[in-house]
Amino acid sequence: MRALRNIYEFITGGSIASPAAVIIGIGLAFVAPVSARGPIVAAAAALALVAATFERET
Amino acid sequence: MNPWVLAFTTFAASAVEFVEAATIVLAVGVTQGWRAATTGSALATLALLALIAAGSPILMNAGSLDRLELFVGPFLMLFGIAWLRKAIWRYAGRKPMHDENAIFAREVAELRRRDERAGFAVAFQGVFVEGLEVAVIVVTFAASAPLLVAWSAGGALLALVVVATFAVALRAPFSRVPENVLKSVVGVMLLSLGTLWTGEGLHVNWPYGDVTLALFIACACALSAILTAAVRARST
Repeated sequence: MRALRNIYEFITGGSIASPAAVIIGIGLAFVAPVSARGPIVAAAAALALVAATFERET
Repeated sequence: MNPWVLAFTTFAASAVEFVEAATIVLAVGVTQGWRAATTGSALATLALLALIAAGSPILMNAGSLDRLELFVGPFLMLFGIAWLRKAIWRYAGRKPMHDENAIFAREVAELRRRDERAGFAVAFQGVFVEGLEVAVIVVTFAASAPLLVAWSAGGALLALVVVATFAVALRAPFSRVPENVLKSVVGVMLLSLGTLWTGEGLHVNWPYGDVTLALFIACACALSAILTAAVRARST
């Protein structure tokens, strides 16, 4: 459990909001038409950065 | 993909991590002798090289480029956001700036209470942990742009040589490296490359090809500046 937590923190820097935004964004892009996927991915990246920045440090 | 972009990104990311590792190795060398410091860091470097050698071919043979980009793109995005978030917090004063002198003094005080074996372990762990992030980034780049493996690994190796040369010459912690600037640059690059590759993995035809990367970089810089101002305003 601790090892999994360490790996998670290594990848995300301890943020919960940024992986959530990235995963939801990719999921939405996956089901959207190809022409809309680019803006969705870019918006998810921006939203993930905003969410992570205002998230409390864990 | 421009090979210089990849080489620069791995160089900057590696330089930041190697400066942190060098501070720890210097503290071990000063307090417990250079044998423990050099043996520990040499073994950690070998372990990291083995990890890169083992990881790159596994990822490169994992399947089509589209699938790989969809796999590594989000990883790069998350790495980039983690680096950028720390840099934004430091610029905004929410987190103290990285102080290599303070870290060096703390490590020296801690090591003075322990024996040589502890020095070896601290040097090994310092180099391995700090280098792991670099190894993951190099392997990820190698997987997504197989023709540019040498450029990606070359950037990391050049950073190692530069930092090691300065560490040997100065025998003192690097207090003047603009670490937060480098961290921001790497964060912006990883987030932009990750976004580009995730889109390509989802069959997005970016309107301006690789020039889109420059657009993402500009947007990430602008967003970081806005977020730094917003966090600073909230903290005051």
